[in-house]
Amino acid sequence: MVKIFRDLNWFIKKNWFKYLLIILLTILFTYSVTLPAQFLGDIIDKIDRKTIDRDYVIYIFIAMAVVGLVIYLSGALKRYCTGSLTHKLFYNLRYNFLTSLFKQDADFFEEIYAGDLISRATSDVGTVSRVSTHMVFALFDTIMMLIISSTRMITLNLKLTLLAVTPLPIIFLIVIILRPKISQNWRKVRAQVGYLNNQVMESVSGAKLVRGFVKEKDDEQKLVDSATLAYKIERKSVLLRSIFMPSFRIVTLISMGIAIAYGSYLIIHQMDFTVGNLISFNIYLGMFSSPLFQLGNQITFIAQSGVSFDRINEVLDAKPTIKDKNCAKELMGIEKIEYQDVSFKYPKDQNYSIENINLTIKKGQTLGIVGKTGSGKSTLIRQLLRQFPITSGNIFINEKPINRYKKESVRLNIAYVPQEHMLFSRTVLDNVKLGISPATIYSIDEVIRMADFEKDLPFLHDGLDTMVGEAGVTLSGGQKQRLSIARALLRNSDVIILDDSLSAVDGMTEANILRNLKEFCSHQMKIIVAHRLTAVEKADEIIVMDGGKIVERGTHEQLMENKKWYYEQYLVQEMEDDYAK
Amino acid sequence: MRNNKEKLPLKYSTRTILKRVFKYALKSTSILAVSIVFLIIFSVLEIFQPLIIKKIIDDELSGVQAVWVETTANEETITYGGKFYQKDDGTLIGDRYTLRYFEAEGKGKYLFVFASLAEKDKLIRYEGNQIIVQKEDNTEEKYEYSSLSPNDMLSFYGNSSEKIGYWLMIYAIVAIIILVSRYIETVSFTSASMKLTLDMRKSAFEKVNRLPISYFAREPHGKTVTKMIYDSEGVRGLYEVIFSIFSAVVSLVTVYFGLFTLEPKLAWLTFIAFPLLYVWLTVYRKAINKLNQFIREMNSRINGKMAEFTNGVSIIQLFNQEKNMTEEYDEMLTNNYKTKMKHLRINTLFGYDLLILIRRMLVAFVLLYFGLKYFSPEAAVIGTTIYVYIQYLERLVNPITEIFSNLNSLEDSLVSASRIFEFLDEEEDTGLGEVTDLKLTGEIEFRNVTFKYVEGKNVLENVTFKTKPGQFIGLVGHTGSGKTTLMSLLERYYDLKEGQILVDGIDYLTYSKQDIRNNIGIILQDVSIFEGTIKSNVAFGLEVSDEEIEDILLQIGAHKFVNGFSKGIHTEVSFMGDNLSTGEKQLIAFARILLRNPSIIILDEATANIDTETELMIQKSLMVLSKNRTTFVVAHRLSTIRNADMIYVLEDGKIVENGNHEQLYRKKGKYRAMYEAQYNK
Repeated sequence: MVKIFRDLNWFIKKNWFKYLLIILLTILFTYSVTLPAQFLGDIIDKIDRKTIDRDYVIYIFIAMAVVGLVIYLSGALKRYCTGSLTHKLFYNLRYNFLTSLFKQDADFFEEIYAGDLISRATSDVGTVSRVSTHMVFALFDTIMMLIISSTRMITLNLKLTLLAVTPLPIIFLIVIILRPKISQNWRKVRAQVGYLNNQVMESVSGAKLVRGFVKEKDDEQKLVDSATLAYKIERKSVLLRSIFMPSFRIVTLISMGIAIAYGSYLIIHQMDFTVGNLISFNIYLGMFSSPLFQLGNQITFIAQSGVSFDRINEVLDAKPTIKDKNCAKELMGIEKIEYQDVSFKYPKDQNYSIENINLTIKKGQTLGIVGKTGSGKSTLIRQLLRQFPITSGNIFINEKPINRYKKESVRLNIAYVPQEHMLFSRTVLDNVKLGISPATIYSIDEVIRMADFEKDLPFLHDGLDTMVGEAGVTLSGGQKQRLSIARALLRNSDVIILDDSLSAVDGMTEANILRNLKEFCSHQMKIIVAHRLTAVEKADEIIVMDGGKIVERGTHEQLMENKKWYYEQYLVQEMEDDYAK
Repeated sequence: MRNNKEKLPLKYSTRTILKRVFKYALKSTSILAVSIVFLIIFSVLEIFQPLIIKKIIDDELSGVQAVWVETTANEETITYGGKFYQKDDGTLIGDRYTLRYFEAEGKGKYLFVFASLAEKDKLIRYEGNQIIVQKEDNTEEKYEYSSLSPNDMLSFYGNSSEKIGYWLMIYAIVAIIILVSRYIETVSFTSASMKLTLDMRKSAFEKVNRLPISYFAREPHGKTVTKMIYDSEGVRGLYEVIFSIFSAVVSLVTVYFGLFTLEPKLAWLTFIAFPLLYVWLTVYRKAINKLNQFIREMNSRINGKMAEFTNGVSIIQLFNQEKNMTEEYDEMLTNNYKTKMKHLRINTLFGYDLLILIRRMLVAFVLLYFGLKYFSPEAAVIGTTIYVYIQYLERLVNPITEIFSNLNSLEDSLVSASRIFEFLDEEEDTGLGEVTDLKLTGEIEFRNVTFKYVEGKNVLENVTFKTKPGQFIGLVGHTGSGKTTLMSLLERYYDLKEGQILVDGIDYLTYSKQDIRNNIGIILQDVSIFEGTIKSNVAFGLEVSDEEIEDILLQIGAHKFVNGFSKGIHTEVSFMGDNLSTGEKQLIAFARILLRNPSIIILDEATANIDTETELMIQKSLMVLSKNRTTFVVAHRLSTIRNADMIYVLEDGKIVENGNHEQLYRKKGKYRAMYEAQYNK
């Protein structure tokens, strides 16, 4: 609880008025709710003692109506204020979450995976907004009700109150014992359903296989068995869960029995207790036991929400590792890139991801980077993109260290085509348009032609306006790659990086793209990371990476003469050609 | 940007849905019957509870203020001032006295008046040692009286304490019966609704393997799985709504029985509330439901965007799109906020709180009614009647709020139900047939096969070729040239409309689908792996020994499965084969085929980037597999089909070149061009 007030200090301070108002309304509401019981008791006594008169009846009627209205209005206003706080907090948290996310570097995303982040943004934010507003006030409500109802009872008769209330703590006991059992059981149920879910997913994804192997009946039986198990487990859980309410009711029953028994004793012995009092007392007793029942739940729930708070704060409070210095300037064009003894390793790793990298690339040149998977090719690139910090050595752009320039402006001068293609749920056109920059000179149609995507357009039923991504059609691997290339070409930046982006296109397409790059991007610096050596054959310099180090470098001809890894790979990839000849 | 309006198609009317759900309900009639019986039991008993309290108060507590008759001692009499008195029941003979509470100048006490007073007679004031009483006709009378001390009162209460104890016991027993009944009712009802889910899932599982492959190509897999697993849970809501309506009706009937028995006139008056409630329910519900739906859709869109942005953070940063994307997101969030506030306003003013207000007004009205009735010349009003009446009113309103809150989830349940029924009504695959002992030799012929998936371009046009049994056939061509479709047709995943396919000289439509498939071993681009072990994945349902599996794996060169892993072929495989590499999955796929020994094999080569080592391993395995089997390979890497007996080059659905590698290479046509492009000479 303290945590809530600490973490959301900024929110509470900003909305202090609403918080205060809700507190006041709760007190008014709770007090008013206990009034009708008093009126009822009074009127019953007056009838019993024949002291009633017409005026009193009218008075009671008006009083009840007015109280009813007060309850309605204060309750509604309270609900409205609480709800508006919830929604506002939710909005703030979701917004801040995203903006924080956008500021982070690659290491943040290595720590917390996308799936986890999404769950935090949705589920945990939801929990936190609800708990910090709705639940907190519900708890206050409960406590208020306990205080006011018990005060009323004590005002009627202290001893009776103490006697009647005695059995009630058993409720806590019940909650403490039953609750964990029920949660555990419930988890078992959900686990089995999750398991079933996975099995069904396998069957659906593997439908072709199941059909192909004529295994339909077996598959069905497997799923039926799993579902039946889920049913059996859930049935057990229901037996347990349903005990909750009845056990609570038995305790309140005992409590009420004591109240009536001792209350009657008081009446019979003329101990300043009337029939009306007895009825009012019973109603107050009900108003006391219900909140007691909820109290346990509410406190537990709020306590458990601490986890959600932590998970959100981890993101909201995260600071990017690579920060722009105060003196950082805008980068106006890249003429030369130099890596001087650049090394990088993760703090938790033993080995370096890249070690002692020395490179120079000038405007208009092409650099080819090849090597086995995991040799450090991507890490090298990401240093330039300022997604990973440099552990030692430095990268110089136009003879100045890279951290002299603002992170964002460095990126503005580079167009990146990734290995795993990310298209957003919008039209093809909008996806390509993400590449628009101040330097754009080519039109959308032109870059689409250059990326060899033109031939795909007739296959898309709305052409450029076809929706892709989650909500639209699924493009093939090759199509996605070509779109990514078009997007990068649109940027018309000084540097264009193709990070293994030609793997899914066939040989002809690859040749077309490379040719277009050569023709239209001759003034740009091109960095090409590839598996297929034909993609980098014409580069000005090719480096071969292995275990984070550059093990071979040179032009294609030089590397072929070297007769090392490059040479062997080239032959393997070309093997059939010799054979055919 | 996509338009915000997304309509949820509800193809089925509520009535149809309810009817079909009812059919499922019939499978659990006995459990539901138990539920209903106990529901009625506790609903009836609950009416008696307040009456017991009323009895305690009326007879034993308030009841002391009555007309007492002086008689001879017996079990019913109490002793006061040396004499014996018994409560007048109208039949006794003797002097009559009245015990009454009287309050004058703020001081109240119990008096024993030496007369038989009527209910309406009012004690006015003291006059000496007598008390002035105002009669119904407004005349005044004087009577003698004696004051009663607390001890005296104790005598008059007599054995009330015992009686109260007795009634409390009754109350407790009734309460326990109610609790037990409620428990049984809840458990049996919930069991029935869980059974509904199970039955629906069974129907879905039975259906899914009868759907045509085109369904799986069309519908995202995740959506299908959600329908089968989660929508079948969502349908329970329907049960809950119907049942709560039913129990509400039972409650209403029993409560009204009580209300009418106590005070008929007032009971009739409460009927005024019903049309009001109905109007409120309909209007409010309609407005709120629309908003609810809208908010739900918005939420899913916002979450989708969040997921998209999270997955694409890198690209967003690298393309400096942070600001733009944030603005997009903000717009959605703001709209969402505004809509939620609208919902809040409606809910607050016209929601549950309003219902409670109506109830409180009813209670106020009840007090007014009984209060005024007291002054009317009719029968006496007893205070406890008000109490019981109010308790009943509460029981009146509660079921209504129950229905009301259940109706909120009704919409959701209806959507779930229609999604499932839509699924269950999907067109099924035809011509599945049964598996026989049919063994094909593997002679395949395509004659003028033309095919398209949807209206538009033909994916295959006039494809004609013939293969001999045991040949190794390669199919190459660009994306969209039709190669995969050709194989899908052979496997009868789709139905042929134009042209013919002959297997072993006979039109393949004469065979059942299952027979054809039983004779073809397929290896798809994405290998389907299931949770289990390596052995279970290779065996895929066949009963085989460990040795047989190991032998097969060694044959195709997958030594590391046998020797490399610590548990060998019993190594665990996780869902969808997540713990295996692409190459390893392919090997398992190959082993599956080899185990089943079909006469025809189709391999749809994976386009995923695999390293050269794996590529070579797969090619070697393929050689083993294709010995003496008609093998079709849809190739992306020309090296895979280098040794093919026959290669068909497809372009735009037509076969444009054919021959073996050497022939095609020398032809210097499309094949040659593709080759050179791939190896860049």
